[in-house]
Amino acid sequence: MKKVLIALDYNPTAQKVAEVGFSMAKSMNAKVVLLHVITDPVFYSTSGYSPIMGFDGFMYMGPMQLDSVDGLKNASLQYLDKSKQHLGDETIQILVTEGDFAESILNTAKEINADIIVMGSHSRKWLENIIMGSVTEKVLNHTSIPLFIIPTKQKK
Amino acid sequence: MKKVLIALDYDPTAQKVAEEGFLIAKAMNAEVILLHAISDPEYYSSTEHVTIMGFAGSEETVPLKLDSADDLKKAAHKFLEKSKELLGDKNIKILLKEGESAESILTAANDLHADLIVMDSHSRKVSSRIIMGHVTKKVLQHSSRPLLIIPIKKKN
Repeated sequence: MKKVLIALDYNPTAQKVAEVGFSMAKSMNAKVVLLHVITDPVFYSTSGYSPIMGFDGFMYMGPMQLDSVDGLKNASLQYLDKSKQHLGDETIQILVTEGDFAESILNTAKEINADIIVMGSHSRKWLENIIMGSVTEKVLNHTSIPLFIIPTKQKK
Repeated sequence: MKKVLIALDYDPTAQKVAEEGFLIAKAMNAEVILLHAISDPEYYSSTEHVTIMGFAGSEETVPLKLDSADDLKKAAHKFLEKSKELLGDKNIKILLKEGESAESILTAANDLHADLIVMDSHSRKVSSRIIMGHVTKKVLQHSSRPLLIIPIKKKN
């Protein structure tokens, strides 16, 4: 059975990435794994969040829980769980990892033997880090997994 | 029915792109269109291209003159036909375009209402970094359609 790894960040466009990736995976009859990578805690403490996946997560949780790594992990798991519920498929697996985005995605893809990696294009930087970053060069040199990029236009 | 547009280079790596893209398209039960864009005639006269799609260019093409636009078209058409043959599916459509590669891909995707564009990363090693090719980058930046990138590391 094919496995599709969908990498989601906290950007509101994650919903589109999840939905398009999921429908592609379903049409392939593939198993879906949702991944969120925790990287920089500062990233989570900004106030610019809009509801994601119909889940206004940070309103409920308050900022204090996001101070610790454990709090972040819990919040991330909740976020992925909400995403899973939104997609309405009990067989979806969720995963939270810590570290560099690109490296975590590629490592996870390798570990779970993903056939395809799905991600959004909105964080161009992130994408470029995967394709061109020197940090990930080593990982990239050892992967040959196709990347499924979903274009997400960032609202300005 | 879903449509998958697979953009192929006249390069030995095209086989991998065609095969991976075809596999995914089949899994999605989608219609497959193979596209090749004729841009730079110089590109075809390289003696490096040995066997493409099990298609040894030298046998048939070396006496075949590639300096006229018609010959180029013929060779490119043959290349696509060979690719189709290799994939072994009579329902595959082939499409030949002339002009800048990224633009041809984008235009074809729009004209066809493709659900997915498949292409290679055109990654190249520049000094110590892996960089994504400019054609891939351009398509990525301008496309509003999902893109499946097959990571290909070109030999230097």
